[in-house]
Amino acid sequence: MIEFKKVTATYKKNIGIFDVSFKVNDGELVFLMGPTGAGKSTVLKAIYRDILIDSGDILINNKNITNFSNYKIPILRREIGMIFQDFKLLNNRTVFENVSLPLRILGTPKHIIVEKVDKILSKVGLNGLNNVFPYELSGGEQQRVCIARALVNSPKLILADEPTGNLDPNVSDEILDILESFTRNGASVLMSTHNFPLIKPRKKRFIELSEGRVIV
Amino acid sequence: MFNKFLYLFNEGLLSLWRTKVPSIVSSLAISVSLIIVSITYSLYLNFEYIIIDFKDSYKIEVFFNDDLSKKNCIESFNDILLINGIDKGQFIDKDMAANKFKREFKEDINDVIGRNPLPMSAIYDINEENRNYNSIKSIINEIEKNTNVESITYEKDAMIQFDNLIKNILAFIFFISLLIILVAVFFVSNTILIIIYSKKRDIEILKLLGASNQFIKFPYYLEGIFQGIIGSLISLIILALFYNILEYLSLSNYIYLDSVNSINMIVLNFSFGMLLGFLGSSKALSSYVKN
Repeated sequence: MIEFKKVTATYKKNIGIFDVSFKVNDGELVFLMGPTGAGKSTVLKAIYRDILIDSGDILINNKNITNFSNYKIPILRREIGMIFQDFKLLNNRTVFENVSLPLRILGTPKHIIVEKVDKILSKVGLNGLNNVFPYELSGGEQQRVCIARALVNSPKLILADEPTGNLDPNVSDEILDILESFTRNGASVLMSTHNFPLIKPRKKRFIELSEGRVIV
Repeated sequence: MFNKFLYLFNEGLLSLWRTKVPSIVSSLAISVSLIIVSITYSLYLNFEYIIIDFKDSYKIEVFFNDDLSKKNCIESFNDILLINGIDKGQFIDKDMAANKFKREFKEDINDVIGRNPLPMSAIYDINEENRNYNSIKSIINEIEKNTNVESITYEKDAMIQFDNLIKNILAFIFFISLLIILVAVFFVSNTILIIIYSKKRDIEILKLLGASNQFIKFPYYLEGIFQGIIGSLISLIILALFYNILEYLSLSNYIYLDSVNSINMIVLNFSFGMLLGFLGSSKALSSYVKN
Protein backbone atom coordinates (compact mmCIF):
# COMPACT_ATOMS: atom_id res chain seq x y z
CA MET A 1 0.00 0.00 0.00
CA ILE A 2 1.23 3.46 -0.90
CA GLU A 3 -0.21 6.68 0.44
CA PHE A 4 0.86 10.21 -0.47
CA LYS A 5 -0.42 12.99 1.81
CA LYS A 6 0.07 16.48 0.39
CA VAL A 7 3.60 15.70 -0.76
CA THR A 8 5.74 18.48 -2.17
CA ALA A 9 9.20 17.75 -3.52
CA THR A 10 11.05 20.36 -5.53
CA TYR A 11 14.25 20.62 -7.47
CA LYS A 12 15.98 23.85 -8.34
CA LYS A 13 14.02 26.41 -10.36
CA ASN A 14 10.80 25.41 -8.57
CA ILE A 15 10.06 22.27 -10.57
CA GLY A 16 8.91 19.02 -8.98
CA ILE A 17 5.62 17.84 -7.45
CA PHE A 18 3.27 19.97 -5.35
CA ASP A 19 0.65 18.91 -2.80
CA VAL A 20 0.34 15.46 -4.34
CA SER A 21 -2.07 13.11 -2.56
CA PHE A 22 -3.17 9.64 -3.65
CA LYS A 23 -3.43 6.08 -2.43
CA VAL A 24 -2.61 2.74 -4.05
CA ASN A 25 -4.19 -0.25 -2.31
CA ASP A 26 -2.82 -3.76 -1.91
CA GLY A 27 -3.26 -5.84 -5.06
CA GLU A 28 -3.99 -2.76 -7.18
CA LEU A 29 -2.34 -1.70 -10.44
CA VAL A 30 -2.39 2.08 -10.78
CA PHE A 31 -1.01 4.07 -13.67
CA LEU A 32 0.73 7.38 -13.17
CA MET A 33 -0.04 9.35 -16.30
CA GLY A 34 1.28 12.56 -17.71
CA PRO A 35 3.55 14.11 -20.31
CA THR A 36 7.32 14.29 -19.95
CA GLY A 37 8.23 16.60 -17.08
CA ALA A 38 4.87 16.18 -15.33
CA GLY A 39 6.55 14.76 -12.21
CA LYS A 40 5.90 11.01 -12.65
CA SER A 41 9.51 10.00 -12.00
CA THR A 42 9.68 12.41 -9.07
CA VAL A 43 6.75 10.60 -7.43
CA LEU A 44 8.54 7.25 -7.83
CA LYS A 45 11.89 8.67 -6.69
CA ALA A 46 10.22 10.06 -3.58
CA ILE A 47 8.87 6.58 -2.79
CA TYR A 48 12.27 4.86 -3.06
CA ARG A 49 13.90 7.83 -1.39
CA ASP A 50 16.14 8.86 -4.26
CA ILE A 51 15.05 12.41 -3.46
CA LEU A 52 13.96 14.05 -0.23
CA ILE A 53 10.54 15.65 -0.02
CA ASP A 54 10.01 19.19 1.24
CA SER A 55 6.69 18.57 3.00
CA GLY A 56 3.88 16.07 3.40
CA ASP A 57 3.97 12.37 4.31
CA ILE A 58 4.58 9.18 2.38
CA LEU A 59 3.31 5.94 3.86
CA ILE A 60 4.46 2.56 2.57
CA ASN A 61 2.58 -0.40 4.06
CA ASN A 62 1.46 1.95 6.86
CA LYS A 63 5.04 3.00 7.67
CA ASN A 64 5.83 6.67 7.35
CA ILE A 65 9.07 6.78 5.37
CA THR A 66 9.30 10.57 5.24
CA ASN A 67 11.87 10.86 7.99
CA PHE A 68 13.70 7.57 7.45
CA SER A 69 17.37 7.90 8.32
CA ASN A 70 19.96 7.07 5.66
CA TYR A 71 20.75 3.61 7.01
CA LYS A 72 17.07 2.59 6.65
CA ILE A 73 16.91 3.47 2.95
CA PRO A 74 18.53 0.22 1.72
CA ILE A 75 16.08 -1.73 3.92
CA LEU A 76 13.16 0.19 2.38
CA ARG A 77 14.45 -0.42 -1.15
CA ARG A 78 14.75 -4.17 -0.52
CA GLU A 79 10.99 -4.23 0.03
CA ILE A 80 10.30 -2.54 -3.32
CA GLY A 81 10.62 -4.10 -6.75
CA MET A 82 11.85 -1.46 -9.19
CA ILE A 83 11.57 -1.52 -12.96
CA PHE A 84 13.25 1.14 -15.07
CA GLN A 85 12.82 2.40 -18.62
CA ASP A 86 16.54 1.96 -19.27
CA PHE A 87 16.46 -1.47 -17.52
CA LYS A 88 19.52 -0.70 -15.34
CA LEU A 89 21.05 -4.14 -15.84
CA LEU A 90 24.68 -4.94 -15.12
CA ASN A 91 26.05 -5.62 -18.58
CA ASN A 92 29.01 -7.70 -17.46
CA ARG A 93 26.73 -10.08 -15.54
CA THR A 94 24.59 -12.86 -16.93
CA VAL A 95 20.81 -12.88 -16.74
CA PHE A 96 21.03 -15.23 -13.76
CA GLU A 97 23.49 -12.95 -11.93
CA ASN A 98 21.37 -9.87 -12.62
CA VAL A 99 18.15 -11.44 -11.46
CA SER A 100 19.74 -12.96 -8.36
CA LEU A 101 21.18 -9.61 -7.15
CA PRO A 102 18.31 -8.70 -4.75
CA LEU A 103 18.60 -12.15 -3.18
CA ARG A 104 22.39 -11.83 -2.93
CA ILE A 105 21.91 -8.52 -1.12
CA LEU A 106 19.65 -10.31 1.37
CA GLY A 107 22.20 -13.13 1.84
CA THR A 108 19.86 -15.86 0.58
CA PRO A 109 21.46 -19.35 0.35
CA LYS A 110 22.54 -20.36 -3.13
CA HIS A 111 20.16 -23.30 -3.62
CA ILE A 112 17.17 -21.05 -2.83
CA ILE A 113 18.52 -18.40 -5.22
CA VAL A 114 18.77 -20.96 -8.04
CA GLU A 115 15.24 -22.15 -7.34
CA LYS A 116 13.70 -18.65 -7.16
CA VAL A 117 15.55 -17.29 -10.21
CA ASP A 118 14.55 -20.27 -12.36
CA LYS A 119 10.94 -19.87 -11.28
CA ILE A 120 10.75 -16.14 -11.99
CA LEU A 121 12.58 -16.45 -15.32
CA SER A 122 10.09 -19.03 -16.46
CA LYS A 123 7.23 -16.75 -15.30
CA VAL A 124 8.52 -13.84 -17.43
CA GLY A 125 9.21 -16.13 -20.38
CA LEU A 126 13.00 -16.20 -20.26
CA ASN A 127 13.53 -19.92 -19.79
CA GLY A 128 16.99 -21.15 -20.69
CA LEU A 129 18.53 -17.69 -20.87
CA ASN A 130 20.28 -17.88 -17.48
CA ASN A 131 23.80 -17.64 -18.85
CA VAL A 132 23.19 -15.02 -21.52
CA PHE A 133 24.48 -11.47 -21.12
CA PRO A 134 22.02 -8.54 -21.33
CA TYR A 135 23.66 -7.12 -24.46
CA GLU A 136 22.82 -10.36 -26.26
CA LEU A 137 19.09 -9.81 -25.65
CA SER A 138 16.43 -7.69 -27.38
CA GLY A 139 14.95 -4.64 -25.63
CA GLY A 140 11.82 -6.57 -24.65
CA GLU A 141 13.88 -9.42 -23.23
CA GLN A 142 16.06 -7.00 -21.28
CA GLN A 143 12.94 -5.43 -19.78
CA ARG A 144 11.74 -8.91 -18.80
CA VAL A 145 15.08 -9.47 -17.04
CA CYS A 146 14.54 -6.17 -15.23
CA ILE A 147 11.03 -7.27 -14.24
CA ALA A 148 12.30 -10.67 -13.09
CA ARG A 149 14.91 -8.92 -10.94
CA ALA A 150 12.22 -6.67 -9.45
CA LEU A 151 9.93 -9.58 -8.66
CA VAL A 152 12.33 -12.35 -7.64
CA ASN A 153 12.05 -11.34 -4.01
CA SER A 154 8.21 -11.30 -4.12
CA PRO A 155 7.91 -7.63 -3.05
CA LYS A 156 4.60 -6.23 -1.87
CA LEU A 157 5.23 -3.04 -3.81
CA ILE A 158 6.38 -2.71 -7.43
CA LEU A 159 7.35 0.60 -9.00
CA ALA A 160 7.72 0.75 -12.74
CA ASP A 161 9.15 3.90 -14.30
CA GLU A 162 8.10 3.99 -17.97
CA PRO A 163 8.85 0.27 -18.36
CA THR A 164 7.45 0.19 -21.88
CA GLY A 165 9.02 3.46 -23.02
CA ASN A 166 11.55 1.84 -25.36
CA LEU A 167 9.47 -1.12 -26.47
CA ASP A 168 7.16 -1.82 -29.40
CA PRO A 169 3.35 -2.06 -28.69
CA ASN A 170 3.14 -5.89 -28.69
CA VAL A 171 6.01 -6.30 -26.26
CA SER A 172 4.63 -3.45 -24.14
CA ASP A 173 1.33 -5.25 -23.82
CA GLU A 174 3.09 -8.44 -22.72
CA ILE A 175 5.02 -6.48 -20.08
CA LEU A 176 1.74 -5.06 -18.75
CA ASP A 177 0.28 -8.58 -18.62
CA ILE A 178 3.20 -9.72 -16.49
CA LEU A 179 2.85 -6.75 -14.12
CA GLU A 180 -0.90 -7.23 -13.83
CA SER A 181 -0.44 -10.91 -13.04
CA PHE A 182 1.56 -9.99 -9.92
CA THR A 183 -1.26 -7.90 -8.46
CA ARG A 184 -3.21 -11.16 -8.08
CA ASN A 185 -0.73 -12.15 -5.38
CA GLY A 186 -1.52 -8.96 -3.45
CA ALA A 187 1.32 -6.78 -4.74
CA SER A 188 0.63 -3.07 -5.37
CA VAL A 189 1.96 -1.83 -8.70
CA LEU A 190 2.48 1.83 -9.50
CA MET A 191 3.52 2.33 -13.10
CA SER A 192 4.36 5.61 -14.74
CA THR A 193 3.70 6.08 -18.43
CA HIS A 194 2.84 8.76 -20.96
CA ASN A 195 1.31 6.22 -23.33
CA PHE A 196 -2.43 6.53 -22.74
CA PRO A 197 -3.49 4.29 -25.69
CA LEU A 198 -1.47 1.47 -24.10
CA ILE A 199 -3.25 1.61 -20.74
CA LYS A 200 -6.73 2.63 -21.87
CA PRO A 201 -7.94 -0.93 -22.74
CA ARG A 202 -6.90 -2.16 -19.29
CA LYS A 203 -9.60 -0.12 -17.54
CA LYS A 204 -7.45 0.47 -14.50
CA ARG A 205 -7.34 3.47 -12.22
CA PHE A 206 -4.86 6.13 -13.21
CA ILE A 207 -3.52 9.28 -11.61
CA GLU A 208 -2.87 12.10 -14.03
CA LEU A 209 -0.13 14.59 -13.31
CA SER A 210 0.51 17.90 -14.98
CA GLU A 211 3.27 20.31 -14.03
CA GLY A 212 3.75 18.46 -10.76
CA ARG A 213 0.11 18.50 -9.64
CA VAL A 214 -2.54 15.79 -9.64
CA ILE A 215 -5.30 16.76 -12.04
CA VAL A 216 -7.28 13.48 -12.06
CA MET B 1 25.56 -13.84 6.62
CA PHE B 2 28.05 -16.51 5.52
CA ASN B 3 26.37 -16.71 2.09
CA LYS B 4 26.71 -12.95 1.73
CA PHE B 5 30.38 -13.07 2.80
CA LEU B 6 31.13 -15.86 0.32
CA TYR B 7 29.40 -13.93 -2.45
CA LEU B 8 31.24 -10.68 -1.66
CA PHE B 9 34.57 -12.52 -1.34
CA ASN B 10 33.98 -13.99 -4.78
CA GLU B 11 33.00 -10.53 -6.06
CA GLY B 12 36.30 -9.12 -4.76
CA LEU B 13 38.26 -11.80 -6.64
CA LEU B 14 36.18 -11.33 -9.79
CA SER B 15 36.65 -7.58 -9.64
CA LEU B 16 40.41 -8.07 -9.37
CA TRP B 17 40.31 -10.31 -12.43
CA ARG B 18 38.11 -7.92 -14.41
CA THR B 19 40.40 -4.98 -13.71
CA LYS B 20 43.69 -6.77 -14.30
CA VAL B 21 45.73 -3.88 -15.67
CA PRO B 22 45.06 -1.24 -12.99
CA SER B 23 45.29 -3.94 -10.32
CA ILE B 24 48.72 -5.03 -11.57
CA VAL B 25 49.90 -1.39 -11.61
CA SER B 26 48.64 -0.96 -8.07
CA SER B 27 50.25 -4.22 -6.91
CA LEU B 28 53.55 -3.15 -8.47
CA ALA B 29 53.35 0.18 -6.62
CA ILE B 30 52.80 -1.73 -3.38
CA SER B 31 55.66 -4.12 -4.14
CA VAL B 32 58.07 -1.24 -4.88
CA SER B 33 57.09 0.40 -1.59
CA LEU B 34 57.50 -2.88 0.27
CA ILE B 35 60.93 -3.48 -1.27
CA ILE B 36 62.07 -0.02 -0.19
CA VAL B 37 60.55 -0.43 3.28
CA SER B 38 62.14 -3.91 3.62
CA ILE B 39 65.56 -2.65 2.56
CA THR B 40 65.20 0.32 4.91
CA TYR B 41 64.22 -2.09 7.67
CA SER B 42 67.27 -4.29 6.93
CA LEU B 43 69.50 -1.21 6.93
CA TYR B 44 67.97 -0.24 10.25
CA LEU B 45 68.76 -3.71 11.66
CA ASN B 46 72.34 -3.39 10.36
CA PHE B 47 72.54 0.05 11.84
CA GLU B 48 71.27 -1.31 15.16
CA TYR B 49 74.11 -3.83 15.16
CA ILE B 50 76.65 -1.09 14.49
CA ILE B 51 75.11 0.94 17.32
CA ILE B 52 75.32 -2.02 19.72
CA ASP B 53 78.96 -2.63 18.71
CA PHE B 54 79.86 1.02 19.13
CA LYS B 55 77.98 1.47 22.39
CA ASP B 56 79.79 -1.52 23.86
CA SER B 57 82.69 0.90 24.14
CA TYR B 58 80.64 3.30 26.32
CA LYS B 59 82.47 3.09 29.64
CA ILE B 60 82.84 5.25 32.75
CA GLU B 61 86.23 5.50 34.40
CA VAL B 62 86.23 6.46 38.07
CA PHE B 63 89.36 7.58 39.98
CA PHE B 64 89.36 7.28 43.76
CA ASN B 65 90.98 9.72 46.20
CA ASP B 66 94.67 9.03 46.50
CA ASP B 67 94.69 9.03 50.28
CA LEU B 68 92.20 6.18 50.58
CA SER B 69 93.13 2.65 51.55
CA LYS B 70 92.55 -0.15 49.07
CA LYS B 71 89.78 -1.50 51.37
CA ASN B 72 87.91 1.84 51.24
CA CYS B 73 88.34 2.07 47.49
CA ILE B 74 86.91 -1.45 47.02
CA GLU B 75 83.96 -0.50 49.25
CA SER B 76 83.29 2.53 47.08
CA PHE B 77 83.77 0.42 43.95
CA ASN B 78 81.08 -1.98 45.20
CA ASP B 79 78.74 0.89 46.15
CA ILE B 80 78.99 2.26 42.61
CA LEU B 81 78.26 -1.20 41.18
CA LEU B 82 74.85 -1.02 42.88
CA ILE B 83 73.87 2.15 41.02
CA ASN B 84 71.01 1.56 38.59
CA GLY B 85 72.36 1.42 35.03
CA ILE B 86 75.80 0.00 35.88
CA ASP B 87 76.24 -3.42 34.35
CA LYS B 88 79.63 -4.54 35.66
CA GLY B 89 82.94 -3.05 36.66
CA GLN B 90 86.62 -3.76 36.94
CA PHE B 91 88.61 -2.54 39.92
CA ILE B 92 92.16 -1.35 39.17
CA ASP B 93 94.52 -1.05 42.14
CA LYS B 94 97.85 0.81 42.07
CA ASP B 95 99.84 -2.23 40.85
CA MET B 96 97.39 -2.97 38.05
CA ALA B 97 97.48 0.72 37.06
CA ALA B 98 101.32 0.57 36.95
CA ASN B 99 101.18 -2.56 34.78
CA LYS B 100 98.70 -0.85 32.47
CA PHE B 101 101.05 2.15 32.22
CA LYS B 102 103.92 -0.19 31.40
CA ARG B 103 101.87 -1.90 28.67
CA GLU B 104 100.85 1.37 27.10
CA PHE B 105 104.06 3.41 27.45
CA LYS B 106 106.68 0.62 27.60
CA GLU B 107 108.18 2.12 30.75
CA ASP B 108 107.93 1.35 34.42
CA ILE B 109 106.42 4.35 36.26
CA ASN B 110 108.40 3.48 39.41
CA ASP B 111 111.62 3.85 37.41
CA VAL B 112 110.49 7.11 35.78
CA ILE B 113 109.26 8.95 38.86
CA GLY B 114 110.71 6.82 41.63
CA ARG B 115 107.27 5.97 43.07
CA ASN B 116 103.79 4.99 41.85
CA PRO B 117 101.55 8.11 41.81
CA LEU B 118 98.75 6.39 39.85
CA PRO B 119 95.44 6.41 41.79
CA MET B 120 93.23 3.40 42.29
CA SER B 121 90.40 3.43 39.75
CA ALA B 122 87.55 1.42 38.26
CA ILE B 123 86.08 1.00 34.81
CA TYR B 124 82.32 0.44 34.62
CA ASP B 125 80.24 -0.97 31.77
CA ILE B 126 76.75 0.44 31.23
CA ASN B 127 73.55 -1.59 30.84
CA GLU B 128 72.38 -1.82 27.23
CA GLU B 129 69.26 0.26 27.83
CA ASN B 130 71.25 3.05 29.51
CA ARG B 131 73.81 3.47 26.76
CA ASN B 132 72.86 7.02 25.88
CA TYR B 133 74.18 10.38 26.95
CA ASN B 134 71.27 11.35 29.23
CA SER B 135 71.25 8.08 31.17
CA ILE B 136 75.03 8.10 31.51
CA LYS B 137 74.85 11.70 32.76
CA SER B 138 72.44 10.69 35.54
CA ILE B 139 74.63 7.67 36.44
CA ILE B 140 77.58 10.06 36.74
CA ASN B 141 75.54 12.37 38.99
CA GLU B 142 74.94 9.38 41.26
CA ILE B 143 78.64 8.43 41.26
CA GLU B 144 79.61 12.01 42.08
CA LYS B 145 77.66 11.75 45.34
CA ASN B 146 80.28 9.26 46.53
CA THR B 147 82.85 11.39 48.47
CA ASN B 148 85.65 8.88 47.84
CA VAL B 149 85.56 9.61 44.12
CA GLU B 150 88.20 12.06 42.95
CA SER B 151 87.24 12.30 39.29
CA ILE B 152 85.20 10.65 36.57
CA THR B 153 86.01 10.44 32.86
CA TYR B 154 83.87 9.35 29.91
CA GLU B 155 83.61 10.10 26.20
CA LYS B 156 81.09 12.89 26.62
CA ASP B 157 81.43 14.59 23.22
CA ALA B 158 81.53 11.34 21.28
CA MET B 159 78.41 10.14 23.07
CA ILE B 160 76.51 13.35 22.37
CA GLN B 161 77.53 13.30 18.72
CA PHE B 162 76.71 9.63 18.31
CA ASP B 163 73.34 10.01 20.03
CA ASN B 164 72.50 12.92 17.72
CA LEU B 165 73.61 10.90 14.71
CA ILE B 166 71.35 8.01 15.75
CA LYS B 167 68.42 10.38 16.24
CA ASN B 168 68.95 11.93 12.80
CA ILE B 169 69.27 8.59 11.06
CA LEU B 170 66.18 7.20 12.78
CA ALA B 171 64.24 10.33 11.90
CA PHE B 172 65.41 9.98 8.28
CA ILE B 173 64.38 6.30 8.15
CA PHE B 174 61.01 7.18 9.70
CA PHE B 175 60.48 10.03 7.24
CA ILE B 176 61.44 7.94 4.21
CA SER B 177 59.20 5.05 5.33
CA LEU B 178 56.28 7.41 5.94
CA LEU B 179 56.78 9.02 2.54
CA ILE B 180 56.87 5.64 0.81
CA ILE B 181 53.75 4.50 2.65
CA LEU B 182 51.90 7.69 1.66
CA VAL B 183 52.95 7.31 -1.98
CA ALA B 184 51.80 3.66 -1.99
CA VAL B 185 48.47 4.53 -0.35
CA PHE B 186 48.02 7.31 -2.91
CA PHE B 187 48.72 4.86 -5.78
CA VAL B 188 46.35 2.17 -4.49
CA SER B 189 43.70 4.75 -3.67
CA ASN B 190 43.86 6.22 -7.18
CA THR B 191 43.72 2.79 -8.79
CA ILE B 192 40.70 1.77 -6.73
CA LEU B 193 39.14 5.16 -7.47
CA ILE B 194 39.57 4.54 -11.22
CA ILE B 195 38.01 1.11 -10.79
CA ILE B 196 35.14 2.58 -8.76
CA TYR B 197 34.55 5.30 -11.37
CA SER B 198 34.41 2.65 -14.07
CA LYS B 199 31.75 0.89 -12.00
CA LYS B 200 29.83 4.03 -11.07
CA ARG B 201 26.70 2.81 -12.88
CA ASP B 202 26.91 -0.65 -11.26
CA ILE B 203 27.19 0.95 -7.81
CA GLU B 204 24.15 3.13 -8.47
CA ILE B 205 22.14 0.09 -9.59
CA LEU B 206 23.18 -1.83 -6.47
CA LYS B 207 22.08 1.09 -4.30
CA LEU B 208 18.71 1.20 -6.03
CA LEU B 209 18.28 -2.51 -5.35
CA GLY B 210 18.82 -1.93 -1.64
CA ALA B 211 22.50 -2.80 -1.22
CA SER B 212 23.97 -1.29 1.92
CA ASN B 213 27.15 0.75 1.72
CA GLN B 214 29.05 -2.09 3.38
CA PHE B 215 27.78 -4.51 0.72
CA ILE B 216 29.04 -2.16 -1.98
CA LYS B 217 32.34 -1.36 -0.28
CA PHE B 218 33.35 -4.85 0.85
CA PRO B 219 34.53 -6.19 -2.55
CA TYR B 220 36.67 -3.04 -3.03
CA TYR B 221 38.26 -3.46 0.41
CA LEU B 222 39.01 -7.05 -0.55
CA GLU B 223 40.36 -5.95 -3.91
CA GLY B 224 42.76 -3.56 -2.15
CA ILE B 225 43.86 -6.34 0.22
CA PHE B 226 44.33 -8.76 -2.69
CA GLN B 227 46.44 -6.15 -4.47
CA GLY B 228 48.47 -5.90 -1.25
CA ILE B 229 48.97 -9.68 -1.14
CA ILE B 230 50.09 -9.77 -4.79
CA GLY B 231 52.40 -6.80 -4.14
CA SER B 232 53.88 -8.61 -1.11
CA LEU B 233 54.52 -11.75 -3.14
CA ILE B 234 56.29 -9.78 -5.87
CA SER B 235 58.30 -7.89 -3.25
CA LEU B 236 59.33 -11.11 -1.44
CA ILE B 237 60.43 -12.74 -4.70
CA ILE B 238 62.56 -9.70 -5.60
CA LEU B 239 63.98 -9.48 -2.07
CA ALA B 240 64.87 -13.20 -2.15
CA LEU B 241 66.68 -12.67 -5.47
CA PHE B 242 68.45 -9.63 -4.04
CA TYR B 243 69.46 -11.65 -0.99
CA ASN B 244 70.89 -14.44 -3.16
CA ILE B 245 72.84 -11.93 -5.24
CA LEU B 246 74.36 -10.42 -2.07
CA GLU B 247 75.27 -13.90 -0.86
CA TYR B 248 76.74 -14.78 -4.25
CA LEU B 249 78.86 -11.64 -4.11
CA SER B 250 79.94 -12.71 -0.61
CA LEU B 251 78.65 -9.46 0.83
CA SER B 252 76.89 -11.31 3.62
CA ASN B 253 80.11 -11.04 5.66
CA TYR B 254 79.71 -7.28 5.71
CA ILE B 255 75.97 -6.96 5.86
CA TYR B 256 73.66 -8.46 8.46
CA LEU B 257 71.34 -10.39 6.18
CA ASP B 258 69.45 -12.55 8.64
CA SER B 259 66.50 -10.20 8.68
CA VAL B 260 65.90 -10.66 4.92
CA ASN B 261 65.73 -14.40 5.37
CA SER B 262 63.54 -14.42 8.43
CA ILE B 263 59.86 -15.04 9.05
CA ASN B 264 59.81 -11.40 10.24
CA MET B 265 60.39 -10.17 6.72
CA ILE B 266 57.61 -12.36 5.30
CA VAL B 267 55.18 -11.27 8.02
CA LEU B 268 56.27 -7.62 7.60
CA ASN B 269 55.70 -7.76 3.84
CA PHE B 270 52.32 -9.47 3.97
CA SER B 271 50.90 -7.45 6.82
CA PHE B 272 52.23 -4.18 5.44
CA GLY B 273 51.08 -5.03 1.91
CA MET B 274 47.57 -5.84 3.05
CA LEU B 275 47.48 -2.73 5.22
CA LEU B 276 48.58 -0.53 2.30
CA GLY B 277 45.94 -2.11 0.05
CA PHE B 278 43.26 -1.68 2.69
CA LEU B 279 44.23 1.94 3.43
CA GLY B 280 44.29 2.74 -0.29
CA SER B 281 40.85 1.30 -0.93
CA SER B 282 39.47 2.90 2.27
CA LYS B 283 40.71 6.29 1.12
CA ALA B 284 39.15 5.85 -2.32
CA LEU B 285 35.86 4.56 -0.91
CA SER B 286 35.59 7.28 1.71
CA SER B 287 35.80 9.89 -1.01
CA TYR B 288 33.32 8.13 -3.30
CA VAL B 289 30.83 5.86 -1.55
CA LYS B 290 29.41 8.14 1.11
CA ASN B 291 26.73 7.29 3.64
